[in-house]
Amino acid sequence: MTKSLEGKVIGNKEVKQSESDLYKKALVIGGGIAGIQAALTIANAGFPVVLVEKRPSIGGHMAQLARIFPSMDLATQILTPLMNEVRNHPDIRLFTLSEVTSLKRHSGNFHIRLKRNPRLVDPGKCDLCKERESAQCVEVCPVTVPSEFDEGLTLRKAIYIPFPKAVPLTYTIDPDVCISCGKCAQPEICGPGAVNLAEEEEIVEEDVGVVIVTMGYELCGQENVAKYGVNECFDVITSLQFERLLSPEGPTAGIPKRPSDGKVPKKIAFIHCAGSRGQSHMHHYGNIRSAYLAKQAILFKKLVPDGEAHSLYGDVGAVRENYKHFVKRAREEAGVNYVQAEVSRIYEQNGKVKILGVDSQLHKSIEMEVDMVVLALPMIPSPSIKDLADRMQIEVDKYGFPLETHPELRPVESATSGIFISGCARTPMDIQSTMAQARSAAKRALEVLTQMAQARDSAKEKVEEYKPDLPH
Amino acid sequence: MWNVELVWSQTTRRGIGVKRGVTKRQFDDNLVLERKTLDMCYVLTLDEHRCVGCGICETICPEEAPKLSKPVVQDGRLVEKPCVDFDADKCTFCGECVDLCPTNAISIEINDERRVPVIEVEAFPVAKKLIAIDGKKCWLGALIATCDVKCQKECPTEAIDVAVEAIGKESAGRIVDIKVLGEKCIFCKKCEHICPEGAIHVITPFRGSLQLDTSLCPEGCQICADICPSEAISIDEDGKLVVMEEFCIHCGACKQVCPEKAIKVDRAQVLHTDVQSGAWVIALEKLTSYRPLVKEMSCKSEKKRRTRVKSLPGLR
Repeated sequence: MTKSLEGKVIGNKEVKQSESDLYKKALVIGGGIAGIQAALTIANAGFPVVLVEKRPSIGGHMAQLARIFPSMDLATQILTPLMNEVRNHPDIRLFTLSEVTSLKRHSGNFHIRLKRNPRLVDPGKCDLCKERESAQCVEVCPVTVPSEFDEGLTLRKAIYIPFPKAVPLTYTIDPDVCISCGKCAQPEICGPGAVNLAEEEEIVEEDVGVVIVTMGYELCGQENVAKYGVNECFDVITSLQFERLLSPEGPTAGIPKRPSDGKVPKKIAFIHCAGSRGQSHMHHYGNIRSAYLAKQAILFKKLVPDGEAHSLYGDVGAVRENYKHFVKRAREEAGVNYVQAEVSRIYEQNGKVKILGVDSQLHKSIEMEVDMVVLALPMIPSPSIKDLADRMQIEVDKYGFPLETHPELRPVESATSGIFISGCARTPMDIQSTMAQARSAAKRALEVLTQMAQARDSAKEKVEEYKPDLPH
Repeated sequence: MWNVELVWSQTTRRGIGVKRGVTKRQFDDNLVLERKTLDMCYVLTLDEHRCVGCGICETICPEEAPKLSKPVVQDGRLVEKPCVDFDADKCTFCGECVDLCPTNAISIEINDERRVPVIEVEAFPVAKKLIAIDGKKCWLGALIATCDVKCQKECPTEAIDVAVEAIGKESAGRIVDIKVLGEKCIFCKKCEHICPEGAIHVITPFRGSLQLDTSLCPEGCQICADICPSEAISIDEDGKLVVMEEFCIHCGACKQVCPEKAIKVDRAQVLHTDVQSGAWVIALEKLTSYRPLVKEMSCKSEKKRRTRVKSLPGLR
């Protein structure tokens, strides 16, 4: 017994150092508010961070919001300083218009490959036409498409800045809609010659120690609520579109207007859990739905004091205490009419939107004629999360959101060590919890970045120390 | 009655879901794509009555939005002509198809105003289409007995409107005014050929050749004659196909419907105004072949060279 042990110990070899070293670098996938906060937390601790964002600018969905609850602050007021901090931080390498194409795991490290899509405009050369009154390239562009940032309420050209406070603040050409006419590349249009239509995509490879996934959510499309017949009217909008209408920097400068004729709606209906009740696979809103609709109703009543707001809910699923308080505030202070109802059909009639449904408390049918309808669509994980979860063997719940290891003890860690999940990539949540989770994930990542390296060091020392000196 | 098929789907561009509020509606004879936003309203209308299914829009569209349907043929006759269907998700309302449609079937209205974005910013040249009537030669005020108002009678699209004032007797009349309805005219040159006084002058944008190999034709097949918008291919009294190449507008609709590939339509040249950008070069190559493209490019570079040489110091 002793001899066999002895032999085993003699046979011990030194752990190869080159392979076991952990790269003291973090990768953050997704440049929304969670990604920004996580990247800043890690970078402020002195570790380099690679921040990858798919869109032309960081900011995510929060940049689209008007005000955030419970403080009712302007979202951009909170977000813009953070975005600028990311831009100016020496330890953060920002990759916009980029996607993670492969993620290989080897001895605790991750080897990642990024695809950097061409921006087709050189940010170094583009001077944003500061000497001219307006950007010439935008004026000559013949292609107009609905703006992603304004959720299709306004139009943008094929060459565009996503939104005025974008980071990095530079023009982008959307290659999918560009008809490559080359008007913007002409020297009399672009003086500095920043437009380069021949730019090609670039592959960047990096080695990192930890990965934080903050890829956020997406609103499930309208085809989901086709059973209401909403597809026929323009005045049935999503909650994110309404958020743009309420935003002071939005297309209507903060006055809610109907998309069909531009009039201020006097009577408005909010439909909770559109397209999910009765369909088991689309049951997901998280617990924030009633709170954000309450926020929108309060804002609407503030902007249109003589307006009427109705909230048709399945059940007020607000669980947290301040959410309940929020809904109460909407009901009592703002005078929003809450009706527990199941909506069966929505259609346009004489320039108004008609809602048919059943009041589930009084058990009688209701008919309502309103100017505008706001639908709370289910939040679903962005498709790239599923992709990543498949590739990294991360377990997902029935809605497709990645699962944490333990809901109470390890809320931000995924089943694969070294990958952390935070924000709406985990489950729909409000800004408050997103910030808390992002910091928490970043702190866990920092623990790994510092501790693991130390653990490896001590293991190496142990090998050196335990030289067998046994009596024969 | 019209039925609604609204496309409010999420297309992925660079993997980003974008909602495009484009409605696609089918009125009686029109396919209408409507994109409504807060301040702008874009309406693209396809007149299916005028559309001959030539497939030019499908060829040149940079976003590949139009799709040509297959024709329905029965006993050598055309029952349903091929028609264009637009993919509402892909259309960017740029207007390249509006400019090049040989039968003026497509139009774009921006806030109820007819506009073509690509032409407005000079990203695309205007195809040269012209129909001019020489008032002196037409003898305004002449008796109709001298020319029998053939131009009005023979026009395949009823684009020429001749106002006749009756004088006394039954058969006689006087030409007071002659008008061309620009929207209807397809510039087929038929009136130019038929006018005994040579008063009408037409410029067609497409030039090329039309060849029909009648040896390949199945018996009794008259599909090409059915579809031809300018009656360049017609059927004579014996039921044989007659090709009048001078009336051909080189749209290629007959080529699309021919079951035996017996028709060859080659576009060699497209007349247009000055080119300012690259979108045209792409469209031209798709529309014709590589050769005119090279020709045009060399023409353009020579022009550039000349202006450069002219602006050299010391040269006058």
